[in-house]
Amino acid sequence: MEAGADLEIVRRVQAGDVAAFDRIVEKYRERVFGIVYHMTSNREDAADLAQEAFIKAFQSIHRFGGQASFFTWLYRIAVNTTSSHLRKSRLRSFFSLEQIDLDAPLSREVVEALTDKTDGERDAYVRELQEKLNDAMQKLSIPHRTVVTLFEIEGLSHQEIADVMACSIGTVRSRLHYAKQLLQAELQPYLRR
Amino acid sequence: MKPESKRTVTIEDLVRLKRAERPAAEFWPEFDRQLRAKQLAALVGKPDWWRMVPVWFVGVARYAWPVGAATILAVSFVSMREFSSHEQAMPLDEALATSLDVSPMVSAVAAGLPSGFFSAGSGERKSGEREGAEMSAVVMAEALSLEPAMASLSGGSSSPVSDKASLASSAERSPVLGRLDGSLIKPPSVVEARNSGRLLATATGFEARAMPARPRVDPLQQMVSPSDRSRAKLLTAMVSMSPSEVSVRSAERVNHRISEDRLYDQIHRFGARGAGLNMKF
Repeated sequence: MEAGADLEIVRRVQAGDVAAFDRIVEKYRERVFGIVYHMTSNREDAADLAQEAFIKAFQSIHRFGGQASFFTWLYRIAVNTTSSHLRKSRLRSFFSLEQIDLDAPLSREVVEALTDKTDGERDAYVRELQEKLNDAMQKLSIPHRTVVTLFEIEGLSHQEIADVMACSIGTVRSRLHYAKQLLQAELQPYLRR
Repeated sequence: MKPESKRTVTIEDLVRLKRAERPAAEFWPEFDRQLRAKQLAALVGKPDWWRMVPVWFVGVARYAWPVGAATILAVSFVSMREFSSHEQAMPLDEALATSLDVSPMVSAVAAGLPSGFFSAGSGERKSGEREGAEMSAVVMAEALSLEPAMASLSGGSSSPVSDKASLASSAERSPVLGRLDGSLIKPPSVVEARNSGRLLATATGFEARAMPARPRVDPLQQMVSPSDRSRAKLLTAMVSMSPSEVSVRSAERVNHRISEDRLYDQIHRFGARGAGLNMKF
């Protein structure tokens, strides 16, 4: 149903209704920004790259034939744009992180499980954990980081990730397994069994 | 010490903690404003064509090495072929062609030939088939007698100095070549044209094709000893004749039906050894 609604909007844009593209932006901007941000760990770069991905989608929307779902097509543009940027700026990456929303149910639960410190100490601990987490993510290769981002953070299925990355499901699973092993080795002090 | 009641924290939990890294709500209006500005810019201005060049080659990126190697081979082959053809047939400079007036040369050649050289041929053609053939033989003999001089003109040697010397010696033997020498040696452009091997061919109706490359000769090998030079001079004085003498001799040979072998046999009877002169009977 969602795919049908997307296709309807896309057809309108293709017919010349440029304003209809705003609905696409409004619907997908947070998810596209999230993918780019978790791959770059830099909010300014993420904003620029997400906008660039939307511009590219707008410029080439007449080539979208509707064979795949629109969000897969849009995510692929975002992933390719980000991967290209990361390859070009491999040596000058630095963090610019968003604040973790501790009011979200999952984050509160995890943080409470990790520490029983007071609020001030907990904020520092969460900040340190966030940096370690992003550092471990940036140590992954771009394909492994992309798989972890799409599966664990954005919640896409293996098939959808395979469509976005233009690879097989086996490759997605393999990359995910290997990436988790690496992350586990890096974040061992923060795990609780 | 952590309480035992707390839940386990896996790597998936830690990674999902990143979902909580979200921009504030006031971030999105600015994001939309920037995106709209970029969208309008994209609508107004088309990307430069050279920025699109990498996109054209995305499809052939996997064949980069074979395509690159094939391109290098093709360029090398074409350039080598062009270079060799350019070397074989170097175009004659227009300025050089206009600076050389070949008509005096041709008239000089015609003037050096015996009187009735051209008219006798037509006259003989009228008198009979047999005599016409004889006169054509005379013409051939005349052409043969001039051939060494022409060969020296059209590139007998590679260096201009030696060419000049050979021309001078040819001029001593023949008044025709003396006149040719005067008109040819003076301008350096003419020497260049002669080296290309095409100018005389064009001017005198010779076959207009590029001369094959001549092997380089060591200058020391070209030097002759004084005794050899005097012997050659003596032989030249004995053997060589002026064109008028040659024409008379040829006409005489035709009249007496002397074969060419017999004629040269007479010439070979003369010889020089050291400072002496031999004559065989």
